[in-house]
Amino acid sequence: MEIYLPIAEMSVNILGILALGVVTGIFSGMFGVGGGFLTTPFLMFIGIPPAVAVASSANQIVASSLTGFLAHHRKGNVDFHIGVLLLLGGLMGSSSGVWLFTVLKKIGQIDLTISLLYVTLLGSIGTVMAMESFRTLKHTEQQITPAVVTRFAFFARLPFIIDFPRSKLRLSALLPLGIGFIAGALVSLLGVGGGFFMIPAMIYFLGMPTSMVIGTSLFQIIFITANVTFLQAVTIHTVDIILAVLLISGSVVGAQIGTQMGSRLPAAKLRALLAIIVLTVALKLAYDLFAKPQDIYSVTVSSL
Amino acid sequence: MRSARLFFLALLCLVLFSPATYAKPLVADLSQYRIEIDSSFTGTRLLLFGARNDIGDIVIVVRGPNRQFVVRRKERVAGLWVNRKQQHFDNVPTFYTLAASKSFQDMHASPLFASLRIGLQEAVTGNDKNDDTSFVDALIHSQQSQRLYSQNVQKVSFMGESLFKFVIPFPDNIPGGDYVADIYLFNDGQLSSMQSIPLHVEKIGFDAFISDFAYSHSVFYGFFAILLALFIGWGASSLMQKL
Repeated sequence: MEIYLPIAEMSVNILGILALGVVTGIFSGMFGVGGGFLTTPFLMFIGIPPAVAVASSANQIVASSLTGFLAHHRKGNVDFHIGVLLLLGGLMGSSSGVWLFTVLKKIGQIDLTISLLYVTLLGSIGTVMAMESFRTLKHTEQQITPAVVTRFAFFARLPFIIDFPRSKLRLSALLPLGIGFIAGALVSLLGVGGGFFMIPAMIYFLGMPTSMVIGTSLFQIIFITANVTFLQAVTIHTVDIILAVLLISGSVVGAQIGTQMGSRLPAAKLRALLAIIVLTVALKLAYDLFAKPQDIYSVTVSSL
Repeated sequence: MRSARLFFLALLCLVLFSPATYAKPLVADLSQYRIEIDSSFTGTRLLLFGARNDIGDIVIVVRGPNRQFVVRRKERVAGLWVNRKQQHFDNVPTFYTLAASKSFQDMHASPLFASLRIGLQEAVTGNDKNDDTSFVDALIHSQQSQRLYSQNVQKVSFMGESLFKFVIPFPDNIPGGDYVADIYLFNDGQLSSMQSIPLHVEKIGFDAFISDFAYSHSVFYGFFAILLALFIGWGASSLMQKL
């Protein structure tokens, strides 16, 4: 069954897009990531213009992260104090990210900049996560390695120290703000990747409990992706609402399934699984950068 | 007055039905002048038909609206594949279909082909022949893989000596705008006749509404997209809670 997409200006298979939505929804509910790392490349693969794929998948993530967030919130697994700080940083980050996107698009090096950034980031995060979670699984300890912030005196000297009772932490407000900023910039550059950065950063950098992290991350992602959707809709008119609604319909169902699946898994196993996904994505992107591309030419329509 | 009107009528009949009109070297038409894109659009086909009353080869070119294209080439820099050189192409048709009654190699090449932009290379470059052809080829290849460019050599079929027809395929991803079908009659490299038929492609109904809304009221559109996502997300969550 095919449907025509008015903004992407092509027709797609309805069932294929719904299925894609379900799969990304599962990832979202389970790991607290948006799931755009799957949607965006897949949409581009079936021929949807990259800008439309990025903007429409951001619109989809608004819905799937809201469903996932509500499910985690009912279990009391959201730290709103940290969530709001992540959000404020994220809004600043995503706004500067959209601006950066326009600048880089003009220069034509956007693919490279994004990929290099992403590979480095994901590669290092994934490795650290994998090492930690497998060690924990092997020794069946419930305790994870001490958070980075507690190991360096520099972080304790930062101003605006606040208590976060839900996560049982005492930190400078600048730390969650900074994590949110980087995550927000990533989202607007890639349409993906905010969660991949935030989740490990909250666990290992801030030392938040894994159970708290997923719901908190989803809370921030709702607003960040809403902001990205809005900015893309206004500046480059690339939000395809038909495509987004199809993806959303699949992903809200997937998000419920993912939340159920995630709550049955021990925290260390969940982290290990996430580490594997992060590393796979990083390896795939690294391969694309260093292997000879299938087509060394790329063609874009630049204006009317 | 009455006699003057009668005189004009007689003159019109004379022009319309005279043997001279019938002997026009080339007459052609399209099965429709408008392609409407709605939510069930998966591409379409149009029939181009006509008659030639003179010897020669039929060449048909169907062109979509022009755009500016940028082609970038990746090169290896310190092990990485990076975009290095780029070339801009102005006024390049987004859609281009070429068909002829005879294989292009067998046809007497006309010096007019370049200026009439007949041929895929010519469609992209026109009269400028200085361009690095690898970029031109890449652009053609990209459009061909999206089914927007095609060269249907010998796909113009004849019924008898003079009647011909060609089925123009339009894929689902054709851009909206003004198209034109040009039909040429070439005799030994000489252009003996030509005809242009305009064709319009546009979105209609819900799809037209959405794309107009997205461009002309982008702020509302953005808000609407977000509200819709929040509504479905919340709705699914409360539905699951009840189950």
